[in-house]
Amino acid sequence: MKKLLLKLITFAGILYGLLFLIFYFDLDGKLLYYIWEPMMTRRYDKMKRRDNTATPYEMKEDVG
Amino acid sequence: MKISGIKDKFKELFVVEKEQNRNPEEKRNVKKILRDFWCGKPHEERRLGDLYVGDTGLYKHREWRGVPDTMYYFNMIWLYNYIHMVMDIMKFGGGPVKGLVNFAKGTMRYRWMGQTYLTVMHWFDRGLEGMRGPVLRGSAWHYRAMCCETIRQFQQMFASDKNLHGGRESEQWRHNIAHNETVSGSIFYGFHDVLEDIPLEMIPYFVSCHVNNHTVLNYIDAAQSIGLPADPCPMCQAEYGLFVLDDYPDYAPAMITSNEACDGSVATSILQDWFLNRPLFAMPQPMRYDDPLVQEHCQREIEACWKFIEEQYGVAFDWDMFVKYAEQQNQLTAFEHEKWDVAANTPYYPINGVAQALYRIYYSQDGNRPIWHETDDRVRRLMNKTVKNKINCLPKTRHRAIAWSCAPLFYSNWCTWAYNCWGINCVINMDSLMFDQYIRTDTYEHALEDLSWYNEKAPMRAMAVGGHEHILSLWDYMERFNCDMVIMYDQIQCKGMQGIHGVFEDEFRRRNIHAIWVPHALPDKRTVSRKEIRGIINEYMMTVMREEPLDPTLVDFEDDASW
Amino acid sequence: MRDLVHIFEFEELLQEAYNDLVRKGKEEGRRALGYTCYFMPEVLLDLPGCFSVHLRAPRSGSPDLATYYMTNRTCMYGRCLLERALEGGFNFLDAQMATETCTVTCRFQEHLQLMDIIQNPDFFCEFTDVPFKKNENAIDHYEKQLQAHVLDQLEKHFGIDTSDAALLKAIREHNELCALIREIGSYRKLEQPTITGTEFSMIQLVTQVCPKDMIMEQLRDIAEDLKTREPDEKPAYRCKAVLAGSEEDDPYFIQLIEECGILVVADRHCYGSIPGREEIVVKEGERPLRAIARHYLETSMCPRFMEQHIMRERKQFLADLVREYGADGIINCQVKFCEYWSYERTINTLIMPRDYGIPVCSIEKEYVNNAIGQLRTRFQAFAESIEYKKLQEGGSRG
Repeated sequence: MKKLLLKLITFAGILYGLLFLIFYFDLDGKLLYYIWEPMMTRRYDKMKRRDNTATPYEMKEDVG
Repeated sequence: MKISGIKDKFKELFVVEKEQNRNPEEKRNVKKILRDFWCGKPHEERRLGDLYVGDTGLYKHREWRGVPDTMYYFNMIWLYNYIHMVMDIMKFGGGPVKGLVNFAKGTMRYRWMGQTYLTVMHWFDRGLEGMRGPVLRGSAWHYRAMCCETIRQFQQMFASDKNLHGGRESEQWRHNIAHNETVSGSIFYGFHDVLEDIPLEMIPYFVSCHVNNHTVLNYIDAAQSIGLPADPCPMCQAEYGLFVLDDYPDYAPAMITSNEACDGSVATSILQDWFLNRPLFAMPQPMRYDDPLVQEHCQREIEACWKFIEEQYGVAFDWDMFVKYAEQQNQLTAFEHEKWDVAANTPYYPINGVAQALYRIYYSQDGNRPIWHETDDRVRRLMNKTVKNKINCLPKTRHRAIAWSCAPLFYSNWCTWAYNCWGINCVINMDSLMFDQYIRTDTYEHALEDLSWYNEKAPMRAMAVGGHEHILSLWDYMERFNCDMVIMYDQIQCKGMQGIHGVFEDEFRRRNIHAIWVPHALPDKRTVSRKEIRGIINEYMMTVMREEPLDPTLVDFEDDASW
Repeated sequence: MRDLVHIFEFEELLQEAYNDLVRKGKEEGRRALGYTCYFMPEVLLDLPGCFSVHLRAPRSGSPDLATYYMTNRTCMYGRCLLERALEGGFNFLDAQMATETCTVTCRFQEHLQLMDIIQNPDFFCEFTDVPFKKNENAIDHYEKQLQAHVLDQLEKHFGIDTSDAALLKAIREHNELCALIREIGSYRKLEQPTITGTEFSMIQLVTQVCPKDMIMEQLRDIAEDLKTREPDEKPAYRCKAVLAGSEEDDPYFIQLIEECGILVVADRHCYGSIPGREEIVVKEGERPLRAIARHYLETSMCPRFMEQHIMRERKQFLADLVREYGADGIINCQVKFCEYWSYERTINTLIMPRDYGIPVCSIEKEYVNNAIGQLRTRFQAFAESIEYKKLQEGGSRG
């Protein structure tokens, strides 16, 4: 039990340290900027979309 | 990639150039090194501009603010917010699985979602750069609240969005009211527990510009692609550009719109109505709102809006429900007044300019939500402490500025930069002063009267319409907030503000006021860039004020490609 | 066609705001009341003892001083009016009856309030709030506003009789003028119209900028003259169009269109007669002011109206106009920086051809027309495209 606790604390400590490194060196920002955003932009640019200018434009009732 | 290439890239991304001309003795001064490590460097030695990676706005490393503030930033801002973002996605999405699945679907479907909101921690970074102690904490809580409410709104939209659920009109879809982002959430208090009111453009357009301004450019271009000239307000352009690009969630059977705050807003309804193609109720506010004669008309329109909702959704307006939420909103207004009092009369205000501006416009527009109360409780405790202990929250303040007119959405954090670089403390801004109205709840008539006043005093319109005396109330607010400088936003596509430009020029000269005109095109950074905005402020501070920058590395740097 | 009677006299009257008839009206001791928008009912400003002047700034050049005050990013109509005011060109005004109906004209009028521009000791500027809808609540509101900010002010400042009897008289006279204008305008509906768009625009404009009683005789003469006016044997135009859009007070712009072979047969814009010259009907038991308020809200086709069904009916109205006047297309113009018409023009340009099969020539222009070359090219191309379409239709029928 004690060993498991120790392991958990060590794991948590390493994880905490790793997260601090990600934070300090702005690795989250760099990942999003250089990898995620270009990837997503490509996706959205290629996405097939409805032509909303084809939306009908019929008369409507008076709603007040 | 060659080894040298990797090395160069590593250097570009992680290595901060060593300061030249640095006193060698300082390098050996262990006491100072330890003090800088623990407390962070003094303002003048921070060299924040050296931390940027090229023009990306990314950091080679995040700022070292001393042990207490860095660890606070890491634990209570960065880590706390990342964890809470995941929790909020699950909480507001109706459970862990459903929430995460809808979130993933929304991210894959909508540009404003996938491209924008994951970069949210950089939005915190930009607004909180150089902040220390209570002002770091207070401002961060404001950011946290906005983040939470944003997640709530987009998760509500995704949960009922026909685009994400195979065109199915769910029960939730039938219980959502879509409304223009400029229609205040307070209108819907009488239906608050039975219907969900969600502003249509607040998350896809307005908040997204602040977080990542790359996204909005697509919508502006799309708006012009169908023939609209480039000169109308780019906010309105982006609002309907969402439809042209088919990037709006279909989450509600009906829509409420209004004429806030300008001709462009009215005209946007023409195109939005076409694209939405569902029942749309227009709830305009009178323009000459000081006129006692207009109040009844405004009240009748609000009642007609409630009637429209009742008819469309088959639910009745609940007076008790209205009272409950209006009273809660009054608590938010009361605290806002407390905050203004501290900001106006002391240096102990623990909120920086950008947090003040964004939080205030967000919550007052959005209406009563639990997160605003939680945040106000935290900030109240903090502010009590700073006032009691007389903590000067922004100690390098050289000038107390008031920002007037509408702000550049792509550079709302200019005030953080201005403080770090020049000691300009933007104490208050025009949009913060809107919605300055309590709602009496003793009788229906009083409540309706105050609610109409509340909506007449909505952002921009309270100052920009209804007579020149409103926009010229700047002088009174300058005095009230003890300001010695005006940052005069010059939204070059805002006809109302352009139309009174010369009068301000004349008055600034006549009153001998230091005013810096900051041109911008609201969400569109291509018209006037952030660097150009900084250049204008720099030039004024150097040539007119003859001052030296507090941090010379912030005077001239590139950030055109940043979020 | 032979020259239309009085047309040169009318053209002369349009050369400046303070024209001979305005001068004469002032000499008679009447009050000159300025306004900029259809939402300020001219019938109220034409009560005995005063007369209305729809403000224009003819022969404007570069509005330099006004550009200092309003920058070069605002509608040039508003700026030219301010420039004219700063030059002293509106000193004849005794009052400006203002409306906050579009941003830049509102700002122009606020400058009149704020700065000591109009050199007339009696001058005042009073704003009226105008609703964005056409429902009963809006009519109630508008009626109250007109009472408080127009009638009460005229009575207070100038002792004008604003009784119901006076209003009824003003309505009668107004209706008489409108009937004449409608009669004159109806010749545009002929297969071969016997009045040009330029001529009609001059006539319509004169009715807005001069004391109306001083031109009634001339209008009757014109109506009479038109009864016998014959069209040219070979028409000078290639097609006919409805001119729709924002502020348009320059007959020479219409002349430019017509020189390119497009006859302007209907005028649906801020200074136009459609809407604008309909009869004001006072229902039984209705207060005349109520009738006026209702009339101006119900007839207006301004893109400022926000009700969903009204927004959509505007397109139908335009399509009906094209049919009624036998037009081949629409020229939809917008003064640069007019936000309402930026959007209305955009949707008209997309919807009218798609849903009604009506071609649209979509134009963004300045108040002072310097870009004549470009405009000419656009109009010629539009005329050609319509001719080509007609040829194609003829071919397919044959």
